[in-house]
Amino acid sequence: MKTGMEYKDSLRSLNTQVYAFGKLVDDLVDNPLFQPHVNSAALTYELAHDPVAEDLVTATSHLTGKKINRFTHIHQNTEDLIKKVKMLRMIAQRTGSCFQRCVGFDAINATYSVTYEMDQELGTDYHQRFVEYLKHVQENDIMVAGAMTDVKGDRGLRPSQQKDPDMYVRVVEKNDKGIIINGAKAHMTGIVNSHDMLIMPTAAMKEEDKGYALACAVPVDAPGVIHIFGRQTNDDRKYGEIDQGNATYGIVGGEALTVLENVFVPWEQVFMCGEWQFAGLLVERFASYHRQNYGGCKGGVADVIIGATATIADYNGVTQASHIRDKITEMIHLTETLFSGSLACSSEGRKTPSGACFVDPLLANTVKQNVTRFIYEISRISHDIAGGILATLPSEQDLKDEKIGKYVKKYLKGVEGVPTEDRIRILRLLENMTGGTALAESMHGAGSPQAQRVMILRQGNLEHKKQLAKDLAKVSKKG
Amino acid sequence: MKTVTVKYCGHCNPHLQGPVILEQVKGKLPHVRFISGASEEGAGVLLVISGCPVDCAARPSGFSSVIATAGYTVDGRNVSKDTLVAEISSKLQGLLEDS
Ligand SMILES: Cc1cc2nc3c(=O)[nH]c(=O)nc-3n(C[C@H](O)[C@H](O)[C@H](O)COP(=O)(O)OP(=O)(O)OC[C@H]3O[C@@H](n4cnc5c(N)ncnc54)[C@H](O)[C@@H]3O)c2cc1C
Repeated sequence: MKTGMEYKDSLRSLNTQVYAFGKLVDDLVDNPLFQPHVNSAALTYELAHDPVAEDLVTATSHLTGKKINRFTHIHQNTEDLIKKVKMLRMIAQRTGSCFQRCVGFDAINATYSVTYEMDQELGTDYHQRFVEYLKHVQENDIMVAGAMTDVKGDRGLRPSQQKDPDMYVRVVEKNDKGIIINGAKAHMTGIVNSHDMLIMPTAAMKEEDKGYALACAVPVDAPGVIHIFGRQTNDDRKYGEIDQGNATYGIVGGEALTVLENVFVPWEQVFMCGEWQFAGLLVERFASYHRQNYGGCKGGVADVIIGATATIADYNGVTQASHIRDKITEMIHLTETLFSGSLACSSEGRKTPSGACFVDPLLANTVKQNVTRFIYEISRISHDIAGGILATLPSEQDLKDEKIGKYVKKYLKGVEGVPTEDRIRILRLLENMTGGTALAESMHGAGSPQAQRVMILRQGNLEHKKQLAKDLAKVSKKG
Repeated sequence: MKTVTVKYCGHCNPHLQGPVILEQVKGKLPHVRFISGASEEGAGVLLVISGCPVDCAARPSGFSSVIATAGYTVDGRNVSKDTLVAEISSKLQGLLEDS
């Protein structure tokens, strides 16, 4: 298992083509724009060596029997699923931000079980190939970006109906050595500081879309791969400290638009190529595993938001007010409801034919649906308690200015005994964690709300519910 | 010197800070060596420190005696914040004398 430092060093040896603000980046690991995200991912490596955390952050490989980082593990039972959720909450409490590695974790678990079932039904040999790839991932503690979301062009059209055929990643050529692919993946969390990406289809496919039914692993620095880093609402602040709020770990994962221009993938790293019948299953598995996470990681993020909100209430001298206590109670209630959902879908997990354990998809989708609302509500309450100063604070340069700093310190003071700078630091943490990019991630990360509602209705066992009502009301069976 | 192996749960929602508790226990038992190892297997006395009463830390095999601290409980019994360290220390002392 790599340490955090070894992970950072391993990134330095890659030749990843990352563009930001119109320039090719040549110092990713040490560049303030990327550093917080690299630090956050590095913690997933470091904690595997921390005696306090290792029970959650490590697992035993079912392939080799060796101790591995849990982010490279295939869930063997419901205990693994529960430990995943607890691990995510624990790491998020420490980072207050996304640590990116869950997307690849979910991608490997989904691909593992689906390739098995695909081989059983179609006589293909993808699973064994995937197992070999997985051994490499586990042995080398590879950070895998989960690359599902295509850019999609006109959302009303299927992949094969798009005017530009590259709106979904597709196979443009096959030869005896491998395939050549084209297209782009959007919103790629942590991809610029990953080693590999695991490409999966975005949606269920029909036969006419079979060129888009594609799953494969590609190094992030493979020839033809270009990453264009996304702006965040706070990215100018990354060149300072206090105004960034969380200077060590930043906010959200650091997302990129990843362009694949005639990228060659050897057959050993191709895990679906044209089997359109299984694209939907892969999407469903990945999405459910990924939605399972959110009561863990967002639970941990919410723990930090609640802590910051309660602290600012202390600093403002309002802690004892009954409505403040009630609002903090509500924030805790919402957070623990999210956590409960993630634990529930894990406890109700089941074995797939491959032996890997899968979450309960109805409960997993329910958790993520709640996240699209509760994190907004938790943030709304935090804004209420923090006061308008959250939106109007002067900059850290003004705080530190020789001439005007004394006014900032004097007039922005709260209760006696708390330095103004501490009050400002907590407010900045809260501001950055509860607005802009951070909020949108709760809405669309792991799928927009409607994607969950489709799954909830499909899995919701509605006929059974109707029958319950009919039985009690003693309506005729035929009706 | 007698040795105790320490195992933590992962601390996803800790009611107490395991490493802080351990430091205090060490202060009471200066003649004991504590290993915070993540070993899969071991021998002798195992001290489990879970952050909350769920007590979900995995138990490595091979240990003859185990003391489980889970939040403010020791081996399933509630203890107060003030007596936790003393309770763990005296249980450990007893086990080490017997072993
Ligand atoms: C911060 C962040 C990190 C992310 N990280 C990753 C990642 O690491 N890997 C990854 O694969 N993805 C990632 N995603 C992508 C995420 O899964 C998508 O944002 C999500 O699936 C929605 O897709 P979209 O953004 O293209 O929105 P759109 O598809 O444009 O959706 C916008 C709205 O249109 C609706 N809509 C879309 N299509 C239709 C249709 N055909 N009919 C009716 N309504 C429709 C949606 O329900 C939604 O309300 C991330 C997203 C964010 C915001």
